Amino acid sequence: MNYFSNLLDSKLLAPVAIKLTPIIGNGVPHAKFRINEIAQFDGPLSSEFVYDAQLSLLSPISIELEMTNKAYCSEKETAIIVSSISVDSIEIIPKFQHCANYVNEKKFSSSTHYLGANGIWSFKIDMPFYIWLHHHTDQGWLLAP
Amino acid sequence: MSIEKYFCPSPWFHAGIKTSGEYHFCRWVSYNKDIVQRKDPTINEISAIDFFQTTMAEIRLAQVTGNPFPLCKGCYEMEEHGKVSGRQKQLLKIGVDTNNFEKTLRSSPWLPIIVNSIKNNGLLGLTPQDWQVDLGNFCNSACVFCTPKFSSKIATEFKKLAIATETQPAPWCTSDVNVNSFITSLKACKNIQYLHFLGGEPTIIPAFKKILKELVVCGLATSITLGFATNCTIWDEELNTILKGFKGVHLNLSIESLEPINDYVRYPSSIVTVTDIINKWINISKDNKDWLVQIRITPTVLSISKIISLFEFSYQSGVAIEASNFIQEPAFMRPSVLPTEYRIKIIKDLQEWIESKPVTEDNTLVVNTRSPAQAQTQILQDAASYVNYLVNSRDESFRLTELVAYIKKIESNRKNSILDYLPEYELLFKSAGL
Repeated sequence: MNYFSNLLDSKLLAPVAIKLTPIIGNGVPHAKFRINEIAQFDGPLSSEFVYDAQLSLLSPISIELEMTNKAYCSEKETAIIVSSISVDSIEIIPKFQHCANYVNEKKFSSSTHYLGANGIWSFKIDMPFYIWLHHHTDQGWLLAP
Repeated sequence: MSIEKYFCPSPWFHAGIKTSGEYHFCRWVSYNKDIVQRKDPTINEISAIDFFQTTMAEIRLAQVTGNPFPLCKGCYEMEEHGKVSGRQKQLLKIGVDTNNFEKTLRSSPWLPIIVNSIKNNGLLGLTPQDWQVDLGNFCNSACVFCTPKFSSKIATEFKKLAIATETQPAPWCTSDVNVNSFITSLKACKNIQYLHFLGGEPTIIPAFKKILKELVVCGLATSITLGFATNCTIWDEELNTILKGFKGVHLNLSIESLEPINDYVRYPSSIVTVTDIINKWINISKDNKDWLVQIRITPTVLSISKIISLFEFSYQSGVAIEASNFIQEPAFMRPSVLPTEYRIKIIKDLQEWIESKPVTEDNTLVVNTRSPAQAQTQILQDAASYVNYLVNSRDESFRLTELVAYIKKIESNRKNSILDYLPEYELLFKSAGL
């Protein structure tokens, strides 16, 4: 019976890994990258950026990437790709890219992990991760106590 | 000791009432004769809420020991053969995935509730959200694997044939006092999500409609998903109207095969009538959001060789098929009564059928068997669980003589013959005394 009490005391930290990949054909984009409102990167993104940290899976996780400084050109591209997000080794991006929100000046679709326009791309897991996953992988009812 | 292997959260949100009016703690309880059964209070003795909050305390404490609980044997057996068990389904309802047990349990909003109830000797202040309501044995079918407990038609036949002469007690729901008491308990439950009724044949049991109508009138129905099984011999437009008052309907259509063997096994139904009504239910479900129709089979020694037609129908129509628990009683009806040499062809045919379907990349067991999007995968997995069962279950062919003795008795009344439906078993049955 201690099993359950001990489990309740655990913080459930797990790795969260995010990879951002820039495309710099027409200049280097500026990236502001925040996790749970805390800045992790703020500057020109000229090469791949990797975020790797242990976060509690019991708390919401908020990921936000703002791209600015893109000059639009039909022949050369500048962009940032959210190449991958994994939580506890479970792929979130690109698998759940339809859950992303992308407010951008070209009104490109939110269902993407490709930032081709200046704007803010965000992904919010607004409940404990495994509860979020339950809802988003069609696991059916979730009873509330 | 293994919490992961044996813990089930069901007693924290589920309870039921048996035909006799005795409460019970789980719809998947194993009624295997080898297992000592509980004797719980009845609806005349305490309220359903009291039973759940207080009497079930010892069940909750038994679940957290990490040891197998004998009455949960049915679920353990299902898991052994790769079949989704009641335990897995109930775990999923609180967000727990058995493939990632500890982390998903830690994440579940129910963990603090479980811990708190353990500290309080299993007592719980919540009310059930999931009910199993047994309405008695009033039934117009006499399925060959059924018992007097679940079919009044079988009860009458067994008395006539002196197979079983005890009179079944009057179901609790034949008393208006009991029905009203139960409805009062339902109204006192906060947040009922699911109400599942079992017969007999619920559609012809007066208390079924009475309870449903009352739930519609008092407004509770709009937040309840209603579940029940039907033998697909009755079509009742008034009932359909009442059902539309519920938030959702989960309907299990009981059939064993699309082949003539169904007429023998689910006597005295006709496969023509049954398939017509099945199609009616499928059509009506398409017009109603939050209605889910599934095929529910109970494979037995007599029907296991004829289930592929039904699996194929389900696969093509997208109507999920789910076999009930591996049948426990009567023991001579179990598919494991088939000798090994008779299983070989069935195993081969089932495997070939499974392999004829597109391979899915993700082989994770589909536990949410109510997801239309996963119906085809779930159908294949259910079929595979029967392959596993036939390959691995022990040979119980020593029960054949008991099976044949039973068949002879009921056929003397029904004037039919199993050999008209399973001529390929003639040698087998004759060697057992047919």
